[in-house]
Amino acid sequence: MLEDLIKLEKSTKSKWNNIKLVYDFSIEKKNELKRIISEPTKLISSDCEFIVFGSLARNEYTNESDLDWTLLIDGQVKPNHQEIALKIKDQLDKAKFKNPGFSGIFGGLTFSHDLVHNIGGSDDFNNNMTRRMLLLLESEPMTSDSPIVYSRVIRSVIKRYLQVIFDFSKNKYPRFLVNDMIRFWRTLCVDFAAKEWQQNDYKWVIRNIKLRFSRKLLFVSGMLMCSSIYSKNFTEQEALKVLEGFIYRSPLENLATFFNNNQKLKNLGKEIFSSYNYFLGIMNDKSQREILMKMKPNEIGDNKLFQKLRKKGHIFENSLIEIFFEKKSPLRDFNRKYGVF
Amino acid sequence: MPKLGFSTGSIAKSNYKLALKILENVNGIECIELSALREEELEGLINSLDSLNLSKYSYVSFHAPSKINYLNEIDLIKYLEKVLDKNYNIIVHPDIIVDFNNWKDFGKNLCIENMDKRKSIGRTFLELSIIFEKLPNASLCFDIAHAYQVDSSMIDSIDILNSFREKIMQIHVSEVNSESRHETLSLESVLAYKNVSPFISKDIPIIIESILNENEISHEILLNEFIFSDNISSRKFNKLNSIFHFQK
Repeated sequence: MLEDLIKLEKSTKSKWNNIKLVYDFSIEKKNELKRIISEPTKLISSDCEFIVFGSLARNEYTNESDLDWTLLIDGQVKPNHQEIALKIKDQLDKAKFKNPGFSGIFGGLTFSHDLVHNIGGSDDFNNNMTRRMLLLLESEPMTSDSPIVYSRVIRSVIKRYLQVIFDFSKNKYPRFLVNDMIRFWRTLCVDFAAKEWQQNDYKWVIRNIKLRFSRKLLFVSGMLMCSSIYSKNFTEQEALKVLEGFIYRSPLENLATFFNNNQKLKNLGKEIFSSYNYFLGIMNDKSQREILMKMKPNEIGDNKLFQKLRKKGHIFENSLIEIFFEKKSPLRDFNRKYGVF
Repeated sequence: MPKLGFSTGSIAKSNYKLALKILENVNGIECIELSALREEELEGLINSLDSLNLSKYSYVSFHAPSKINYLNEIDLIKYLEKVLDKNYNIIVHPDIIVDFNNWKDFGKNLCIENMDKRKSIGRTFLELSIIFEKLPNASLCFDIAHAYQVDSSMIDSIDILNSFREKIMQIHVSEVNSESRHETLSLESVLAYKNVSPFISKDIPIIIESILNENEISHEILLNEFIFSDNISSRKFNKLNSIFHFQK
């Protein structure tokens, strides 16, 4: 799974041990999770699937991470779906997995109908959009090796984005998808400010750091996905399969693949992965993460840890800007055409 | 025109004789699937194979039981060997197979059907590939309704139809509801199936599996003609349009 990353690490003569460390831990936790949920998920029908999101799906899980999950339902609605979700929650609590945040986006039921039919429009509430975009950007099914429900919902969502233009063969590019991707990133940024307003300084620093790194990585992975079908003359089926390929890989893997395919940009890749490796090292260090969790916004100026992360964040962002707009980058045309207007 | 026909089970459940009688007077069909979907139908149907008047049909296939409770695999195979003597294709659900080696002698007459969402094998292109690795000579009965239920984008259907083109012996058509029961076709299914019909060779027999009463037979034939034909007559199109109100 880390083949592309290891290839890039070698070609840039780098060492990204923190990425590998959290990757190995994520695989270990996924196996543990599969064992834990095997009992309650025996009760679920062929219309449901247990899906994880967040750091576990990105293979960046640490001992301090929350577990974001949902029971995805794509079929007949049944009252006992909630009972199953509660049984799953019980099992996860017993196994000391940390509950998802308070937003209500995760830790319960998600219905495919809303994900597929409410894209945009007044019923596409923040939670629905977040679930949909995270399904595309950082999700993984846990209940079976052949995830029929997951794959069916993913394809239906993508098909919605492609079919808004009615005839894909004539238009070739789904602005709809890229606009939603950009909307999602901007929403994350706006919500950061909203949480600051609502929750004062509670977890402000850690949220700020995540926005600089992991949230930004998600957006970039999404833009790579969108650009993958730009000016390629694909049929709808071909476009769907290419987009699907991105969804089944983690954001870091998508980014590593991009640099391996664009060797002339590999020095930017080195900067990006080295900064991200540093970020993951801090996230994986219990004492340093705790310092960040407790830190108040007015303390960041004097804090060396925050300042170093901020500096690494700038390197990360500047290098990403380069791959979006650098002359040699294959993303330049795409971003000029669709990234702003 | 497509080579259309019915499963006897879709016309009269557990009563192949009645189904054949009803179908005697139906125009526009040239294929038949003799259904022993329930284990208890198997012996009677096999024993009467020689006496059935099937002269109307250019294509005959046989659907093996979808579950076996009383028979063991070897006994079932012995029964089905009598069908093989007739050189009929035998439609088999892969989940009833215990030992793939026992089925190898059926060759291409063993027609594996892709499964609905409830089963754990044989649903997708990848799952079918695993089965065909074990049974390289077996053929495929492509159930378009199962495939649509498993992947409504129909991408997997296209993969199956392209990759197993040479293996496809017949198509099953119906609507399957959320509990995987066969029903008459809806507009939603008609449009989804029509999108992939160009990937299906025109000479492949189309077996309708929708559960029908006698009055619904001609309507279901019309819908299948629409799905599997490049063009249908204006008269037939107008008839369809009066039901579905779509544009040509």
